[in-house]
Amino acid sequence: MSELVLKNICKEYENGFKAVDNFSLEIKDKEFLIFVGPSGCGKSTTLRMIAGLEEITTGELWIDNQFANYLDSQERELSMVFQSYALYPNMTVYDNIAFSLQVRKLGKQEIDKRVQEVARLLGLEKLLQQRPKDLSGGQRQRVAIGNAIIREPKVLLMDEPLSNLDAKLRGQMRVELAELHKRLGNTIIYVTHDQTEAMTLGTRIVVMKDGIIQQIDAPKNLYENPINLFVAGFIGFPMMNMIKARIMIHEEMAYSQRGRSAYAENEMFYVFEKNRIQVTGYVKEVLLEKDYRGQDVIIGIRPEHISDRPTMNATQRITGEVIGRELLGSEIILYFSILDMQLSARVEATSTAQVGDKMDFFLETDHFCVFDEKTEENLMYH
Amino acid sequence: MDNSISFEKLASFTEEEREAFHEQMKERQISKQRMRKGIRVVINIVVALFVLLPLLYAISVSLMPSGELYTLELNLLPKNPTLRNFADAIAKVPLVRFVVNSFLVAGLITFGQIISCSLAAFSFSFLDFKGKNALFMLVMATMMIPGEATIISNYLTVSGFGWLDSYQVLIIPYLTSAMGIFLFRQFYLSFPISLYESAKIDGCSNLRFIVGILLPLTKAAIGAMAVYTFINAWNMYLWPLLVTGSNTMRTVQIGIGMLDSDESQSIILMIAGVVMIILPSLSIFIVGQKQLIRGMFQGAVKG
Repeated sequence: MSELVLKNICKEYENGFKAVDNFSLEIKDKEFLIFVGPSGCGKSTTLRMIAGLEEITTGELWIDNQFANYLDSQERELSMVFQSYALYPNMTVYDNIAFSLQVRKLGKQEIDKRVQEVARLLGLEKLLQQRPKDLSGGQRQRVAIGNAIIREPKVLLMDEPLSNLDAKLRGQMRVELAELHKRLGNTIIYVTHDQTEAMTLGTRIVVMKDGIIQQIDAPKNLYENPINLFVAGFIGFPMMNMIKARIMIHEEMAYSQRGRSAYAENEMFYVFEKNRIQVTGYVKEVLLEKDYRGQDVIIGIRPEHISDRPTMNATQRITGEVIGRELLGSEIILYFSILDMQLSARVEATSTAQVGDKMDFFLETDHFCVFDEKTEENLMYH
Repeated sequence: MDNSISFEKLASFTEEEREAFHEQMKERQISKQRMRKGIRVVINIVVALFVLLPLLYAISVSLMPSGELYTLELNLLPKNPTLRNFADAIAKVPLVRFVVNSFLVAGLITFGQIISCSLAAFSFSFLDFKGKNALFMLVMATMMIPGEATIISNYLTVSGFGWLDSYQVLIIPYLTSAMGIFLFRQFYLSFPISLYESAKIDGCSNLRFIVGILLPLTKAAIGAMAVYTFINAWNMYLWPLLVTGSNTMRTVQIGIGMLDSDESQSIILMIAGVVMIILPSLSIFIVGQKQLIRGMFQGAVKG
């Protein structure tokens, strides 16, 4: 059992800078928790406070119902994997893995047994007599993990462990880490600035900005139901499209010059310049209820909810000029401009659109997020 | 032959012609390199001779019979080389005893400084405590005070202890040095802090970290420090002169001074002595110079 409770934790430096502000969180046993955010958001500082490498300015840290603010690092029974691996260059892989047990003066046979076990788990059996400088990046990473898991810590802390690896190896290690978590069942707290890592690894994700928690949720919820503009923009690639628009409602029937009805009664639209996108269903209800008539909002649309052809769901049309085209193999990201905004759409690889084309795009309005322009909160958050 | 050759002409060569052409070009390149290298070697030899001239002349003089030096001719090399001067110097003063003393003193000072400076530098770079920077500044400030300025008060202190004319008076005042602390600290600042943090989380004590991880990884710094300290201690003059009185405690530098007495001044004897005592520090420098140079610069540039 290992449960962590962080209560109103703050970190303030002597110069008055608040790195972490009022951080409260309960971490359950066997969780794979991710701290994610842009650099300087306080995620590493929080991790280091949990590890005991930084003092907690105010607030409480509880590890397994034990008040841990003033415990030394080694008394907290945690272990940590560093971004730079932090292997001891003068020792062999074997000694690197065994170090924390040697410090604790365990018997030689016991140590040997556990080192062999960990080495087998991580595929390091043949490298035990090598030194860190002879290893590749991925192998060093594995040794660092071996050093961290050998004494069966209550919580395993990882500080951007994959950011020194190249893209391919990173993907591979990501899979291995997920596998390892399944097998060991440790509680893991993992810091990263890479939202892909966060989305693929975490059971829960904490999104931070400027030392403040923005949202704590499962990856899927975070993606589909972001609490504010920051989270919506940070999670997901390519970034969510943001369009500034005004909510307009037509209370009376209006007719076009030819006499056909242009708008029905009480129809609601997002309006930006000459573009009109109809609002219907749940979104309309919420906007009516919160009385956003005539107000400015920011609508957020994921690239996969913009299509290059009309479908059952994608019915609302806008016209833009293609300014970029990225072939990802199975699909294409089309970047297009409309007014002074740049949007992106994820379309099928069969699309023949070229840079410079003027073309129609169709939006799935059901998946819109709508943010208040001033508070930047998601009005659709539920 | 001209270096430039048109592409068409090269293409029209037969296989043999082409091979000959390649061979020719290669030879020209080699001879060019040889020429450059030759010039460099000649310049180096000239400069080295110029720098080493006093030392070489001293060695030459120490091998001359006394009659050869005091002539009107310019004798650069001994005509009848002899080792008598060395034997005479040793017979006149107990040089061997002095050398042993110097080795003992310099060795212990070196050992002590490495221990004390590395520990102090560790706390200045890895630990966090109030007044750390002020304290470090204070240590650095002591470097600004010349040793001669404090030598009288130091003398009074040690004579108050009744330590005069003993090994401890030669060693203990020099067991630490601001320069050493500074040198080690610069090294430790470039040492990845995550290794220390990792060791801390692993449950490793500070002392174990120093002995097991820090010292083995800063061998270059220790080597540089050791060579530098040893040579300094070996060359100490004023302090040993002041606090030692008997032949049993004197160090070599004083011993050389003793060869120069008013009644019988013999430059040849003195130079023979100097040549003998230069040898240990010279050989230590030759053995340790790689470490010294690597050590001095390793802290300066990362990597």
